[in-house]
Formats: sequence, C-alpha cells, structure tokens
Amino acid sequence: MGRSLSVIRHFAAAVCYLAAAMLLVACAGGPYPAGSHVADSTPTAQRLSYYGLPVPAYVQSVTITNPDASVQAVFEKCQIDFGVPKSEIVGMGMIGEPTDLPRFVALTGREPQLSDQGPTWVIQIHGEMRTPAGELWTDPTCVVTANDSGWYATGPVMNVADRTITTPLPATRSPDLGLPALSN
Amino acid sequence: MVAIDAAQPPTAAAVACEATSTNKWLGDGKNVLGLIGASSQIEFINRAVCTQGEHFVDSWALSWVSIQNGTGGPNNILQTGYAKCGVSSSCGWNGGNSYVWYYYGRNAGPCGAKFQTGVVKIYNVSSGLHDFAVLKSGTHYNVTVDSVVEAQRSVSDIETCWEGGGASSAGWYNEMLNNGDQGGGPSTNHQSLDNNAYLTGTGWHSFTHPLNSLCVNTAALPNWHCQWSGSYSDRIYTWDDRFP
Repeated sequence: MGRSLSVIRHFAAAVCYLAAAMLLVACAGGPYPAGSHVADSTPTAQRLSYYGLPVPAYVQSVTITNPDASVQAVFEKCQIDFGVPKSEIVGMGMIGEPTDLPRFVALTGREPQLSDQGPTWVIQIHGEMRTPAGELWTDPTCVVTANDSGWYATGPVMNVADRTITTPLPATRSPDLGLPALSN
Repeated sequence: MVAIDAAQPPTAAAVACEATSTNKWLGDGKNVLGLIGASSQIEFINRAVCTQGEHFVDSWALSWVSIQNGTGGPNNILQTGYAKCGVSSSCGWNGGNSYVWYYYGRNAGPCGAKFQTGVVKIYNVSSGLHDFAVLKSGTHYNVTVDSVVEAQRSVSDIETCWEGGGASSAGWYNEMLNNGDQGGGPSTNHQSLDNNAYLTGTGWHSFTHPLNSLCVNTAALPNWHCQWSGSYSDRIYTWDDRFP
C-alpha cells in the first residue's frame, strides 16, 4: 500500500511538473524572431539564466565551437575576445525585435535602440570593463541591432577619477526573461 | 583570459606594470561654446605598454582627439586615435599591434541608460602621421581618419543624448592606464599632436598655447612630459624619459 502511494505521488508530481513546465513556456513565450533561427522544440522550461530568470524557448543557445557568421559578427561588434573575454559571457541570444529588449535587459524605455528594427542580439557578461573615458563598468550588457551596437551600464559604474559609483537608472519594467549560457 | 601571441616578442625597453591601474591623461583640453568638432594630426609612435607580472593588470597607451560634455560624468564623449593595448585590457590586445579606433559614449539621461560602443578597432597602423577628426557634417557626427569617414553617430546621439545639449569641450591627449605604460615618444623622438583645432559654426580654430608651456599631466608622473610647441603654437609634444 505504501509503495502504491509512493508511485502515485511520484506520478502526480511528474504531471504537476510537466504542467508547470508547459505553463512556464507559454508565459515566457513571445513573438518568434525573424530570420533563420527557428523555435527550439526541446523542452526548455528548465532552462534558467545566470540570473535565475526563465529562458524562453525561442532563444537558442549559442554554440561557441564553429559559431556561424551572424554570431561571429555579434562577437565582433561587442569586442568579444578583443578586450572582452568570452569566458565572461553569462548569457547570450537573439531575442527577436528591439521592442522585446526590456523583457531581457533593465532599460528605461528611452533608449534609441528600442526604435530600431530587425533581429536583436544580447550579450550579458559578469566582469568589468574599463573605458577610455575613465570609467570602470561592472556587469554591462551588449545589445546589437541592425543600426547600432554597444554596451549598456546594467551594473554599477565607477568614475576612476573621483571613485564615485553610479547605479543604473530605474528600468521601465523588471526583466522577466533570461538568456541561455553559451554551449560547446 | 586572452591568449598571449607567442610570436610577439616582448618590448625590450618596456617598464614593469605597477600593481594598480587607473586612467591617466597627458595633453590638453579646451571648453568651447558651440563646439561641433575637433581635429589633430597625430604622429604614430609604437609606444610600449607595461610588462605584465604574475597577476595581470589593465594597461594601454592611447592617443586621441575628442569632443565631449562633462555633464553627468566623463562618458559623454566621441573620440578617435591610436591604441596600443595590454594583453588583458578592455581594448583589444590585437596581437600587440597598434590600431586606429573610435569610441562613443553617453551618460544616463535623455536617451536612457548609460551607453558606450567600446573601443572599436578601425584598422591596424604602424607608421606615419595621420589626421584624426570628429566633426558634425549634415545629419551625422563623423569620425574621420585621413579625411575618410570611418564611423558615424547621429546628430541626436550628440546633441540630444548628451545632457546639456551637445559638445562643450575638446581634448587632445595621450592616455595611459598603468604608470608602466609609455606616456609619449622616446626622449629622442617626441610624439607630436599637431595642427590641433576645434570646429564651431564659424569654422575651424587653432588651439594654441604659449610656446613651451606645459600641458596637463593628471598622473603628475615625473617621467611623462608634455609641452606646447610648433610654428603656430598649435602642437603638443609628449615624451617619456624612461625611453631613450
């Protein structure tokens, strides 16, 4: 009797988990990005970002062995392995349109890149960047759109001259989606 | 960690890196009302970055011209020039080779979160005098090297996104991160930043100082020297007396 109850409990737990997973995927879903990237058909509800946010099914992991030309172009625009070590990347993916950015990145809503169009790539790093303007940026985020690319201060920034630290402006919304880690 | 190019020989005359790195500048700047551009003919000198020890530190030896606006911090800037970067720096090591670059940044404000392009490589460089400029032209601010447009930012990136309404000062500087980085040319071949000028609605204006007057040395490192010279006093000479 006890063994039967245990089996039932395990079955019920599995059903609940599956239902939760489907719900999470549905909630995390969004418009699929244009271009050659297709929706990932594997279960992805278990994918969580470095920051603990669910990774939507349509954001595929980037393979660092033999990355395709589009990934290499994004690496170049974000100076990956040209000042920014690839090892510092904690999340990367093509998320869809720039209007989707605030779901992934803490932005104010006033950033001109939000009005851009086309495929949008995001790279999050856990590390520090120095700038020739005299600042030290911690954990910034690179965004690449059709007409612009660069880094947003999504973490603290220190002015090295006077050692003052500024924190990011309040975001228009808290990001509720995450990016997958790189895969081999 | 960036791999060290084994084929790149160490610079024999290089100075050991010190334990900490902070940005330091050697050159000069000017506040200008209605500023829309700045230019300089900068001499290429293959300056050395410091020699790394057991624990890598950031280092670089940059030369650049800029327009900027100090409102809200130092990041409202558009600049271009030469870069020689250390092996673990936030600008590309590039196999130890120097290159031409540009950088655009804006502070948090009218255009949202603080933003920067990073140090964007344009191409490798190894010799000569090159004309660098950042200037407004039509609907853009152009970054030009030897009069060729190499990068552009929209006018709104400068005049709207920089809180305070556009550029308010220009800069002509060498920049180092570590006291072991070479601050200028060797003692026998001072590096020149020549024909220094800035642009307003009334045209280009030479940026001059009294002959032999000293420039700004934010590190006050006694080995780093900078003074004004040239037939029209619009030339900066920089040198580092640790390098004969």
